[in-house]
This record gives sequence, structure tokens and C-alpha cells, in this order.
Amino acid sequence: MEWARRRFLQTVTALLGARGGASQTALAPGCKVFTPHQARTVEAIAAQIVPKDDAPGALEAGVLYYIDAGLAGDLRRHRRKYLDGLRLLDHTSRRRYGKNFADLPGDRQTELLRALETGGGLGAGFFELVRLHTIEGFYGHPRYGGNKNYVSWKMLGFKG
Amino acid sequence: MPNSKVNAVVIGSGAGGGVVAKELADAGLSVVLLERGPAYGAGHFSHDELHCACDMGRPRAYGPVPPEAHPRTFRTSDREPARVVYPGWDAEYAALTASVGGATIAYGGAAWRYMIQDFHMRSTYGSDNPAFAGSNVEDWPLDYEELEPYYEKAEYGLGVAGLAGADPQAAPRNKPYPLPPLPINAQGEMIAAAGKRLGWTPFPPPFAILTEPYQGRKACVQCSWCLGFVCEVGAKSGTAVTVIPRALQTGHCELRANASVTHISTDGRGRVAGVWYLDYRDPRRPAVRQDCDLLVVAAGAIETPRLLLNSRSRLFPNGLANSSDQVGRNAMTHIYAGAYGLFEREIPHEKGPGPSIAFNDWNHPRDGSIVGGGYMYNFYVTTPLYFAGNRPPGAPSWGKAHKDFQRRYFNRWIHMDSCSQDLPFGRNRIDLDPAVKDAWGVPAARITHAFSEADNRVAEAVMDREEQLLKEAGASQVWRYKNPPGGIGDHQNGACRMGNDPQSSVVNKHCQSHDVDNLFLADTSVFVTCAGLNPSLTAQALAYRTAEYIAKQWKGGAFRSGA
Repeated sequence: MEWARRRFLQTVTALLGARGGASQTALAPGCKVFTPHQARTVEAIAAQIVPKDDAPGALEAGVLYYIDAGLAGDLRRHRRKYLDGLRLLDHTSRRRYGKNFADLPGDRQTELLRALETGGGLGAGFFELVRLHTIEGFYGHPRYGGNKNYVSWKMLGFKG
Repeated sequence: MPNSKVNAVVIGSGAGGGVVAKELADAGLSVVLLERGPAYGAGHFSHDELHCACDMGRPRAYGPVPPEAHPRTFRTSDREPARVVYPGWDAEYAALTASVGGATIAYGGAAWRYMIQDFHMRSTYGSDNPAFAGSNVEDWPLDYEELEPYYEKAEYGLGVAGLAGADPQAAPRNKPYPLPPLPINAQGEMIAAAGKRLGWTPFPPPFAILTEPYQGRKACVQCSWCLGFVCEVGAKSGTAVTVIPRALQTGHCELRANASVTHISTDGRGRVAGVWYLDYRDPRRPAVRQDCDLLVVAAGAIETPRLLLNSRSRLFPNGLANSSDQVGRNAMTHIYAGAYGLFEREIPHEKGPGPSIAFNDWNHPRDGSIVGGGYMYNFYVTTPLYFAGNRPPGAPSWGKAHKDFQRRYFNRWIHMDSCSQDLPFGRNRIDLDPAVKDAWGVPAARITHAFSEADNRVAEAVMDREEQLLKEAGASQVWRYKNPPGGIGDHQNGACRMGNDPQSSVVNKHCQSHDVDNLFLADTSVFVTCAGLNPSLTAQALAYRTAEYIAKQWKGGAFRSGA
């Protein structure tokens, strides 16, 4: 089991590195996959999916680290979709509003994500993936880096 | 170096295999129990559903892992290309576990006896019933009465909690359950009262979960983490904590974990001679041969037919025990036909496991409105993540509205779930993928499965009743589960059906191969039809019966090589 796991991880990591992953660029602090810009974009999307109000949202709960660690491990098969999806999102954002996604005001971000969600194709697939992983990171067990200090369980009064 | 020959090899240590190993060891046979996965005990418990719950899109807590090493392929019909699926990452994979105790280490523990009609679907509803068009619905070669003493053995051997006589649809039984039922929670009280007003009969469903200390094990502590989890106190009556330790205590049974059987060898007379297995942890380690007088395959309704089909030889060109071409056919599952209700009053979030009231009124209903059907029950304790994935149609799936919904209704909902029948069809099958192999170089299972219109109609009828019940209980909004077009879940069964006719079935009523007399099956693969109830206790009752038959034949001198 351990041998097989190591071998597969090595293969997957090598493939991703060779195809333009983040390996050549400096990584965001605390991240294994995302560059600072990618990390900022993922945080912006996650904050739209579970926004902060009187209770913490996905950004405060550390969902970025859930997703980043996942893409380096258990969620490894989605890594390429993220890297492509983030590029696509910025491309669309610049074409429509002249700025990268993370630099848009909140209501523009909502608008763009809604368009992505309902637009079908690769964009919709990417949005659904980030949506799912944000919900997992926010409501799942904190051991993977999200739901920091059990914020979502406390919000719902769930004792575990 | 080959191991010395033993009387019996059992492949798979789950519901059926664990039972057979223990019974044969008790009868004095030397037994080797081969399990492809490692042992996971209470030390592998965590309050982490991302790790433990089924099909979370992550590698599975109790295997098979890593996903890339264990591919299967899936398609809904032979007119479409099959796509590669992986355990934990894809629901269509239909993973159980790779672990000592098989799926029973982490299952939900529902422990039903099948109903009298479940053994006689064809004669109960008529072979010309339009609902059966195109299907291979048959009666089982044995009836409930023949199986009753073995259900009792399973219930007492494992430790099942329930209330005898509470389900008016249940078949008669000789003895009460060994343990009292699980306590009824607030959800259960609400749906029990609503069901009574509708004229239905609520009752506590039977579970292989200890409600009192039993045979040296502790009782359930009612935590929130049950379905998919190894029990933190060992109260879940799986084979790893019941029959397997007892088998080992006899001194006649050796358990070998991490042993993935890849091939069954036969001798020149077409009888099983032994098996070859490889190491689950490292595909590079050399294959090991284990010879035996008789073989019991209990690898589950996907891996059992896969192994038989992979055990081709000159004498068995279409796979072992497959002269009928029925190995892999009639693969079945359940439709988990469920309904969800939102309430405007708080329903206290109570301790687990959660299911506390069931209804069997719409399983072979007396008014004849459904052909077959299924039982329904209130589902396991709701967790924040599980709830976040369940929304009524049109409700927002993200943003502040989603978060507000989460806060408003987390403690104000009930999920009714069911096992609705899936009929047997020859086109729904397990065979070998022509191209895809696992990390050990063995051809992968290819699953072809689609639900029929009749299956979907029955599921919709069950969901109609669930919605009716939730509304009666005061739900302000109800919605229902959307069944995928196909796919075999953890209730996988059929695929090596039993029958009296060697031309149309794989094993006889003793679960003995028609073709190879020292080969037996002891899992859900032998099921002829799938019933609207969880399958594990029936697999275990059959395993007790098969083991008794083998031991009796053995004492009469059968199966020994050269005999």
C-alpha cells in the first residue's frame, strides 16, 4: 500500500510539475500548490461561496488551506482543473471588467461567478468543483486545514 | 515457497467469509482466511466524515487505497464506452472496503431478515407481471422457513438489537432478538406519531449494534459517527469483532491480511486445487500459492465474479464455474429512495446512530399497489457537511442565502431513507474490462448497470409515501432523492445467482458451484432477487447454512483430494 501510494504520488507530482504547475514560482505562505496570486483568487471565490457575516466565512475558516493541501494529496486528481480554471477565471474577468478576479469589488465577483455557474462547459465545472471543496473545507473536520477552531460547527451548535 | 495445504481457504473476511471461516474452524477443518486488505480496529476511529463517510471524493478510510491502484470501469449500457472509476473518488465504483471484516467494519449495521415474499418474487407477483418485462426475476431455490434457523444463528452469533413482533410485515420467528432495540429519538417520535395517524405501523428497526454489553463487548455510546465509521467502542457487530476472533481462538483458522487473490487454480479433473495471491501493500512481491481441499469465495458481488472470470483455464475457458454464462449477470443494488422534510420547529439534535423508527408498510404492501417496494426509516445523525449537500430544488447552493439556510434548518429537518428494489436483468452485469488492469496487472471489473423503468416507478412510489409521512409530521417543505440512471452501490448483490438449474444459475441452494463441487460462494453475489431490505444478515444466514452443509459433507468424507 505504502509503496503503491508513494509511486503514484511521485508520478502525479512529476506530471503536474512538468506541465506548468506552480513548481517554478514561489508559493503562497503555508501553501504547497498555489502561488500568491492563485491563493488570493481561491480565497476570493471561497469568500463568495461562504461569506463572512456575524459568523466567520470560508476565508476566515482557512478553506484555502483545505483546498491547497487537498490538491497536493487526497484531491490530487483535480489539480490541473484548478490551475486551468483559475487562469480561465482571470481571463474572463479581465475581458469583461479589465481586472483580475481578486481585484474586483464583491458584487462584480458575485456576478461573474453566477455567470460561470450557469454558463456550462469548463467554467461551470470549475465553479462546481471550488464550490464543493469550499463547502467541504468549511463544514468538514478541521484536521485538513479548513473549519479552523470548528467555526462552522459552533455556528450550527453541532457538538460532534 | 508454497504454504502447506489446508482443508479450506476462504477468500474475503466480510459478512459471509468471516462466518464461514468460524463455522468451519469450529467443525475442526484447518482454515486459511485470506483478506486483501489490512486490519483496521477501533484505533482507526475518527470524528471525520471527509475521511470515513462513503464517496466523499477522497481516498477511502478503509480501502481500497490508493485509488489509482484499484480501477474499475463503469457504463450504463454496452452501447456506450466504459469510463475508468476509482474507489472513493467516484460513486460508480461501488466500493466496499479492503479490510479485515470487510464492509461490516464500517457499515450502518441494519440487520434485516428478508420477508417471505422476497424468496418468491416470481410466484408472488406472477411471471407474466408487466413489471417484470425483460427481467430475470425468479424464485430463490430455498424459502424463508429453510433459512429461519440460520437467521437466528446470525442474530445471536453477532448480537442484533430489535423488537420481535413489532413489524407486522415481518416473517415469523422462533426466538426474540438477543438484545432490545435502539432508543427512539425525537425524529423517531415525530414520524411514529405521523405514521400512526396514517394507519401505518411504526417500529424500531433491527441493528447489529449492541444496546447492552454482549459476549464481552461494550454497548453503543450513541455517538454521531456511525455509517461509514469503525465503531470507537466496538459495539458494531461486524465480523472483525465477533466471529473472526472466535475463529482464531479455535486454533484451526489462520487469518492472512493483505492477501489479494488473483487466480484460482484447478486440477486436471476440474476441481479447485488452490489459489494464488499477491501483496496488497506492494505489487512487486512474489505471488504466493495456497492449496486447499475446498474453497469458499466471499469477496463481494463485484470482486467474486471478477475473480471467477479471471480464473480462466483450459478446462474453463469462460472463467471458473461459468458454464452457464451467468457469472456476473443479474447484478443488483438498491435505490436509496429518500425524501427530505423541513420543519419550522426545532427537532433536538440527538445522539446516534440516528435511525430509530422504520415502516415496512410499503414493502410488498397488502393493497398490491407496489410490486416489491422497500422499507423506510429516519436516517443517521445529520452532520453539518451532509446537510450542506442537501437542498430543495432551486435553493441556493452558495452565498449568504446558503449559509442562512444552513443555520435556519440544520436542526429542523428529517431525512427519510429506504432500500427500494432493483430487479435482475442479464444486461446489468460484472465482466472484465478488456483494457484496464489494476496495479497487480489483473484485469479490472467492468460494471454495466442501469435502473429499469419498473425499478424507478417502485422507487417513486416509495418516495411518494415518504413525502406523505413527512407532511403528516408537519413538514413545511418536502423534496425527494434524484436517482442516477444506473450504478451499483454498497448493497451490491446478485451476479452469481443461486438456482436449481445449472443452465441458468451459478450455484445450487447450498451455494455450491454447479460446475466445481469443491467451490462455494458465501456473499451477496448468490442473491436471486434483492428485496427492499439491507442485505448483510441474509448473506450471513446463508453463510451459516453453507458452512453447516460443508462441514456435514466433510465429515462424510467429501472434498478431500483423491477422495
